[in-house]
Amino acid sequence: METAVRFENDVHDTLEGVLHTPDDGVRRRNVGVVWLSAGQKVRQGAWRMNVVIARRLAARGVPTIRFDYRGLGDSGGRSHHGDMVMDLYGFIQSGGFKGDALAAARFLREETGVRRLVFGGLCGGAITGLFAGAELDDVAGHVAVDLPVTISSAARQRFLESNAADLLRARPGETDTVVALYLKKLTDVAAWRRLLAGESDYALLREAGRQKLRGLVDRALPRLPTVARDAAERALRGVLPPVEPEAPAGPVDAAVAAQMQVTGEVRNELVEKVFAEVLRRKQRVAFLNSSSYHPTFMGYFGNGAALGDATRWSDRGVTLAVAPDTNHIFSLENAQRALFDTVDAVVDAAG
Amino acid sequence: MAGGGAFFPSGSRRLYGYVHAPAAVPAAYGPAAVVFVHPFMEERQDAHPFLRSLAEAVAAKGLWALRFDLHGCGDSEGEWHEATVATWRDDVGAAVAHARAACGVDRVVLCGLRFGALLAATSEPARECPLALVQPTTKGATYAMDMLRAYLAAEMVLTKRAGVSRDVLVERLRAGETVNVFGYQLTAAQFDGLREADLATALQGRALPTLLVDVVKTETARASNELAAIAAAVGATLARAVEPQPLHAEGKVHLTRAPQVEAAVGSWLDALRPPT
Repeated sequence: METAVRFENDVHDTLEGVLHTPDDGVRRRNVGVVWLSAGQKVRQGAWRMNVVIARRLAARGVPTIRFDYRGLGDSGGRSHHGDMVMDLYGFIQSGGFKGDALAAARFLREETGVRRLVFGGLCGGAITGLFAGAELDDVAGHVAVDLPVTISSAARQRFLESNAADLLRARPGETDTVVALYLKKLTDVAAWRRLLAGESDYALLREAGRQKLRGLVDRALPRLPTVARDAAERALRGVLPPVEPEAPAGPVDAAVAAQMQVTGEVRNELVEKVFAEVLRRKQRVAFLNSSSYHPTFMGYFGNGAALGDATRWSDRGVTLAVAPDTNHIFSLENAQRALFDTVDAVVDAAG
Repeated sequence: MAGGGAFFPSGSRRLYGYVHAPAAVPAAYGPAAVVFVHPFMEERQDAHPFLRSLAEAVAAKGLWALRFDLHGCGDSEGEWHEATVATWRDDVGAAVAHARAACGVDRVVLCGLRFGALLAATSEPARECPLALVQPTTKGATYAMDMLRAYLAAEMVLTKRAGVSRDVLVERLRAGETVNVFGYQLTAAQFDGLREADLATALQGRALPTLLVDVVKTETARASNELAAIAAAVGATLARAVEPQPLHAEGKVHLTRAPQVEAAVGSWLDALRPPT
């Protein structure tokens, strides 16, 4: 059964949502789920994933609520995040909608009588759930899908867009696009005229070339004997750019962290705080990452030393899974199955 | 009727609708409701702020406004792959009936965005309702092929290589398979239904008031020749709205209003007169 519902948050905004309750004849369980939207995609989520998940849960006897945060979707109030989408992300990543999630949890308890809760969501939904869970005692677990571990900001985006060379250093994956654009212009007389007149963006062109060369060298070096490889590395130091992707694959040390500040990427330390609090309260956490996002998660959070790295999490009720060949919205069938399985596992463990 | 979200029936299904009650200011058009038909798939999600703001603007003019979700879309019952273009057209009829009953009005204006506009124009209520079509999809055939292109683009981003052709995807549909377009399982029935819809054909011989809003990004952007030709052929009002932010796609700015579309639709509504 699906019912349109409305309830108030901590600042008396009216939030609009849908409550999914088990049909008659389905054994109702004592656990309920607050399934949180990512933010921008309102309460149905990409490909209606939130609707699908809530319906599956209700069919398994688990009352589930999904709703729009204040100022978004159908809900009232203002979210105070400004006009830029990147700032909305930053607002969510710093716990901006925690009060709304707590209000939804309260409403779900009052309406259905469930005794234990699970928070879940993709991206902004995942982190909002952790923020809310860190303040509650009756939360059994979390489904944290592609948990954001950095802080986004429009200022960062503007900086990267107006400093193309920095953009390529931060996101080497976009080099091919730049190179392809320049190759297309080889037969363009006007482009040659701009180049010869010094009107082209030399910094961008030079950085694209360096990044491409870095890639070629990185592929060739492992084939050389160690002595030759070390010599080549020394010779190229200062000529080729260091490898400093936006999504580092390894631990983030102080030097790299400083570089991240330069390129505008900031590790979200609040995530570690709420994660620690959630663990202190004995709440289970199931992280599920898309393969496309997993390196970022590991680089900024999963390899972190403060709480022990991901290999030690299982002792504390934390699991980490990666859905292979998956985009951020988990739209492909294999990703959807991984998502549903993770949700089921957390809810079943909750009772 | 105070407004807000609620489910209403469409045949054996329930659809989710959100009613915006009118402001105290009486509308120039008199008591009436505007029923909004959303665009499809992710466009529906991304267009939500725009459609909400337009509905609020309409309500501020003294008209009722109903936004609703089609079968298998948004919060409405059913799954996407179960729906067909025919059931979606039926849903438009059910929404118009619901608006009349819930808002206590006889006159209803249909307003759609993108494929929602084409769906509205090809639905049964279009025979009796004025139409405001914002950035309408003009040819369903092109739109359907664009969906297949979206599948291929998504596959290429993920696998870093070109996959099958669109012809192969059409063959798969013909063989009874579905095509995953950003998580939505497109069926052969939907594909065929989308392809058959054509705006120029739908509006042919139409005598009721019709507004076509050509939405462009910049003042200097070229106008749509196709919309101009359709407007000229059927005597529709053609308005141009410059909106730098996309109405139905993620942009850098969190869109909260589309002022020129609001103005175009608002002044067209003001100019409508009750039938004598």
